[in-house]
Amino acid sequence: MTSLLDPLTRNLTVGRPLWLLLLPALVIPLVLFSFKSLAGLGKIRRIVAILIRTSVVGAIVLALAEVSTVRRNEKLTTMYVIDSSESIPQEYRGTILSFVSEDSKKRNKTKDDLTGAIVFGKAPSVEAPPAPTEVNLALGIESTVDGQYTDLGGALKLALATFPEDTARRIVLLADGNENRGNAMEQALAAKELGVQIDVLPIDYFYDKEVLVEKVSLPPDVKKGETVNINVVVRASEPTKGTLQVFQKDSDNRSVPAPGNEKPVPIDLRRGVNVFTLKQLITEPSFYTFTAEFVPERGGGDRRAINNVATGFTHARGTAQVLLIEGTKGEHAELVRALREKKLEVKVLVAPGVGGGGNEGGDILPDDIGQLQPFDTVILGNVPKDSFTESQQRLLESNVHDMGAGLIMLGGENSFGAGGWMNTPIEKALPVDMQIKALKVQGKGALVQIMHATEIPEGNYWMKVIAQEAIKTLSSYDYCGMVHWEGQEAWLFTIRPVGTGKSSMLRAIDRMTPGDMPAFDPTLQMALSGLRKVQDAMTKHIIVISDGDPAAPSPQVINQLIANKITCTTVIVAAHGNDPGSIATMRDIAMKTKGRFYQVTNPKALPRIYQKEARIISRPLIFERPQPWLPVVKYTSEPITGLNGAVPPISGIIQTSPKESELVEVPITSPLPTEQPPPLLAHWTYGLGRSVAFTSDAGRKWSTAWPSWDGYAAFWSQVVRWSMRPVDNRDLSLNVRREEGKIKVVVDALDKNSQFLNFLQIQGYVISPDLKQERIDLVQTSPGRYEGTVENAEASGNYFVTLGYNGADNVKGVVSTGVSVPYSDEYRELRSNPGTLETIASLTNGEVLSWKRRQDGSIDMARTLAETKPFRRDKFTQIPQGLTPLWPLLLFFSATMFLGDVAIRRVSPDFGRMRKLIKDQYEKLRGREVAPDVEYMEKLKGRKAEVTDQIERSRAATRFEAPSPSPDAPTPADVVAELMQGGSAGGPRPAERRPAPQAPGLAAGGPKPEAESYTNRLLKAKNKVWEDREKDGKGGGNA
Amino acid sequence: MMAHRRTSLALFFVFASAMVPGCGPDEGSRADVVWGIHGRKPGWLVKPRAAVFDASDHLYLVDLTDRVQVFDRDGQYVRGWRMPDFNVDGPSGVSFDRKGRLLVADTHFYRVLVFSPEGEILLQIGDGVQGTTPGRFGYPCDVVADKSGNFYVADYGENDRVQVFSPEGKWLRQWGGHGYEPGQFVRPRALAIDDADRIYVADSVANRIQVFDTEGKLLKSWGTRGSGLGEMAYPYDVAIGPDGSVYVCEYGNHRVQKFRPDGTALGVWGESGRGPGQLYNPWALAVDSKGEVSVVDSNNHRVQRFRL
Repeated sequence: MTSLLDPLTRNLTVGRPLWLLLLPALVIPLVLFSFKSLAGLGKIRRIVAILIRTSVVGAIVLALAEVSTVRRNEKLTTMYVIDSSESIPQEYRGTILSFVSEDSKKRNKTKDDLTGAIVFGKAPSVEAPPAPTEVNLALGIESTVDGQYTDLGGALKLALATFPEDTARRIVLLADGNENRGNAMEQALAAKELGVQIDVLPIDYFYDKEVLVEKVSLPPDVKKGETVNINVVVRASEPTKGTLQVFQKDSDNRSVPAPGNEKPVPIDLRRGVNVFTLKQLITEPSFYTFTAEFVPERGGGDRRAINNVATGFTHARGTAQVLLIEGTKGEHAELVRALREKKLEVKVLVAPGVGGGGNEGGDILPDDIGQLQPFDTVILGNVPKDSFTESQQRLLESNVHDMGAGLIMLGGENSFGAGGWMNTPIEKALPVDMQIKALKVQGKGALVQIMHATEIPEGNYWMKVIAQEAIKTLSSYDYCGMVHWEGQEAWLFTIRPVGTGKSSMLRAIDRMTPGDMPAFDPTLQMALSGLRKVQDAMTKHIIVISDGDPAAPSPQVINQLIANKITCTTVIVAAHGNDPGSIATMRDIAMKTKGRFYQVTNPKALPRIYQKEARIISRPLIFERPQPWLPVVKYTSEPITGLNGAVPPISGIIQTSPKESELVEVPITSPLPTEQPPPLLAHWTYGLGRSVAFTSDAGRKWSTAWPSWDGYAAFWSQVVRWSMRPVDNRDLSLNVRREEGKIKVVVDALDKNSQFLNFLQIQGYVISPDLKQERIDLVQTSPGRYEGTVENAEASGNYFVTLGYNGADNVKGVVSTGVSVPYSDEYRELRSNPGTLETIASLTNGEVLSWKRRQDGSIDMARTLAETKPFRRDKFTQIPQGLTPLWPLLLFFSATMFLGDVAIRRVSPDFGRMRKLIKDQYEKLRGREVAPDVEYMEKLKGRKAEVTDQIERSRAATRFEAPSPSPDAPTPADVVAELMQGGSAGGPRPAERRPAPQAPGLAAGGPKPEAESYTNRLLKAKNKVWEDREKDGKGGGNA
Repeated sequence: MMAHRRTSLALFFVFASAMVPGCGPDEGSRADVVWGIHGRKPGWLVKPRAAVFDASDHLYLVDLTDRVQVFDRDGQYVRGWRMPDFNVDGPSGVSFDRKGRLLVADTHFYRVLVFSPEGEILLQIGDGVQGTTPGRFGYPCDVVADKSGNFYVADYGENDRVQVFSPEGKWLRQWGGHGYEPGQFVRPRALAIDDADRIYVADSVANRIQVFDTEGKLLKSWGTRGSGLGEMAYPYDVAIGPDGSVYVCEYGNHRVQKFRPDGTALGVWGESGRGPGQLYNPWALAVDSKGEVSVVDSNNHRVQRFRL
């Protein structure tokens, strides 16, 4: 784009300047030619005509040259980008905000400058979008900033994206220059490309006496009775003093001083890295977490406490440990005794029950992977699904799949399908499916849910949740129906098998809005008649949820329910102020029909109540006989090696079906029920771990003969040991580091002869503090060395790494370790990094600003502000320009001028008459007589007479001879036109007087030559006749 | 010309007959006026559940927000006040005594309050404690007063009964009891009293109307569960028209049914839905001096007026 010469440069540009050469090439000949050809126009008209012609040609040439106007936007937008990460010293924060508030007031209001602000930590967010007002941060920052990280690059990127398009742009960056995410330099280059200047105001600090506890280093795996060295690494920026104390987490997850470290130990720190070692005797096989805390001496100058603490953990293996979670306390006493006899450590927990308020009784179950780490196998002994939260179920599954631990489920009335475990992560981990493929004999369960509007908060939401939970808990061959009030009692969906109707049921539930039903009777009657029709259901159950307000059911309905063996559980929520009448009504229904009554105070308990209730009807999965029968040992698999002959009889079993996988082994089955003999013992390898399903119980109700069996202890200890997490192979050393937000895993593999183990396949999982698992595949980088990395390990907390390895010659096993990230990297920064910021400023032609300080070192805001010019326009400021093409305007102009050119040649104005006319009008307005225009009237009259004369002459001439009218004869119209042009304009020009050809029949004037000649001929003939008659008359008179 | 006039006349009759509302459920019901906005502002409604007209055809409405609101016949808001105590549910029965005082069954506070038309509390019946003993209430759901000023209060809960109180609020007698036998009730939702002091009880879950004299002697009873003419589903309110007709509001059938005083069904108005002329679980109705019915379309948070 080429600019025209000043001063036009500011306003016009020419897109194709070459076309401008046409201007002299066309205009000069045009002027010369026109000067001659327009000679007849008179002096003034000729000049005007030439000027108009020139402008027509000129405008077309300019349009071809793409002349455009340039619109310059004088606005400037300044974005303040503010570092709000934790590394910014606290005392700076208020100062930064008031600086931005004050500095933004400098904007040029007359030019409508815009200001905005972006704050950033881990991620940037727009605190104030660009607007023609000051940024007011007096009340603090409103955006939520995760200050654990600094992403300077991300903040600059957002600022660049936030700028409005058509203003000049500048960023004022207030930061310490440290970044641990993103890349600021990349964004600075982008800013340079876009012409955005970045002024920087470095926030400078230097923690000259800061102390950091860098890490607590422990061997990843220790043995019972071993003394371990706990190495505490402390970094000090200056020699200083303080105390160090090491704490240990006890079994209740509380922090207590580690033995031998009851009191803080005074330490002297050298500049740099200091290592302190504490010896600790490991007495119990357990999971150990040690925390080291440094306390600086008073006045020591250490300013940040958060980086004075670090954590490390280790795992001491002793005898193998087993965690048994049972539903009823003491139910597995025989099993526990047998396992302990075989040198297995067993910890027993009792799962809580479910009531209206949530969990009832029982122990607290593990809910993080660290708590499960000490145990090599978890046994679920006759415990229902509803005792576990969703995340606990996921945790147990992940403990097997990712951490290599074992899982054993024992049978019982609350286990497998009868315990509601279908469609859970646990089912996924077990070698059996809870559902049976074809259930013929045992019958099915049927459930009707009666839903009544409840006035608990989000009542409608909870209704849907529980309805869905119940359906999910049912097996596919069970029946389910749902009754609610939708203006009247109605089936939301009638009773149908869950397997075929599940999706339609869930859809219907989504649309459900249960209303306020007046009475229980009709709904119970509907449920009753519906359940009666289901012939093959062994268990028939109703769950009613209500506030208890509807009228109580009649005794007849209740009696019919009892007679039909239909149980009815009632769930009362938000009864009218705990109205005893409502509670009595609901309790009564449940008691009489042998259901259960729940008074729910915490809606969160509802889903688990429904799971539990839905599981009631899964009882058909239990197969019991009064007469015990002998299981069949089909073959001897690894866990039951050495089992000779038969196992004792059983009298009950939960029906399951083995998973269709080659990994699943079913060494022992039950011959009953004969239609589909279910597995008694099944096992498989799941992920890195192993799991076992034993579908009868462990000695209490269905296997009473087992505890007295000789092989009982051997059988169970063998099965449990088989499932356990494999012992770490000491030849594989696993080293885990966390650096730059990544977990780096290095494995050095040597065999017993210290030879490198090559070509191993090593993969596994890293579990982050928020329990997310990330798959990791290690790649061999040198002989015996394997490496892998997991990205996005930014959260602080404990990371667990478990790897499985496979190689030639049956080399395989599992190794695990962990790494603890005590605090965010932000707290590792001891000084600001103004260098980065200065580079950014010089790269983008911005300015490096600085805080002005008073003599006492405090910031002098007035002087600091005096030197900043955030809204300056300097030579590097890129003023944006907007172009508007002018060709449409130019073409329109030339078209208009072309008409003007025609007009100037064809129209000759009579200025004298115009003057006269104006004068006359003026006189008229003043109320005076206007003298008739004598001269003009005379002229008009004279002309009229002349024309009349001509016509008369013509008539006279045509009386006897009809001459064709002369083409030159003026028509009346010509006459008027001529008069309008003024008599002085010379004689009429032949060309102008020639009448335009007319369409036949449309012309108003002008006799047609043919018609005229015909008339003349007629006239002639007539005259002739008269003349002849006259002659004859004269003659006839004579006759 | 004559033929043309005849056609017009015929057309007029066709239109006129189409305009007559309530000729049967199949013909669609037309409301003269539909009014009400869902909300908590003055003049707006949140699930209104009881209504009554005073002598000058002002409509007194109570809703879930524990407000008594007064409207003119066309739904223009006139005034209103709050009940002394608030609850998630509001009062569920209102009526006027012969002295022009407003009687409100304050259901969830186990009492009946007597207000002046301006909202001043004049008398309280019941001590506000839930109970089954004489003089206490389970959930009092409607109240009427006879010519001599005695109050009749229907309550449900552990007892389904009608209790009678003197003009001073002293307990006199009771009748009823939970059950489907004649004279018993299953949730007596509403009461109405005619000029001859006959007490009509909407025995809602038993799907019938029972008529008693002031001593509790059963005079008449009609209704069975169903949706045909003469049948009913959850009669939630009953009112007497100026001509002695009995109007019943059916919660379960989403309609209003008109009966002769002897129980002969005359017609129904309304069907299930949300459009004009449609009702969604209506709780109450009131008849004005012109004999037009205003039905409280509770779950649609509005009132519809029509002639049946």
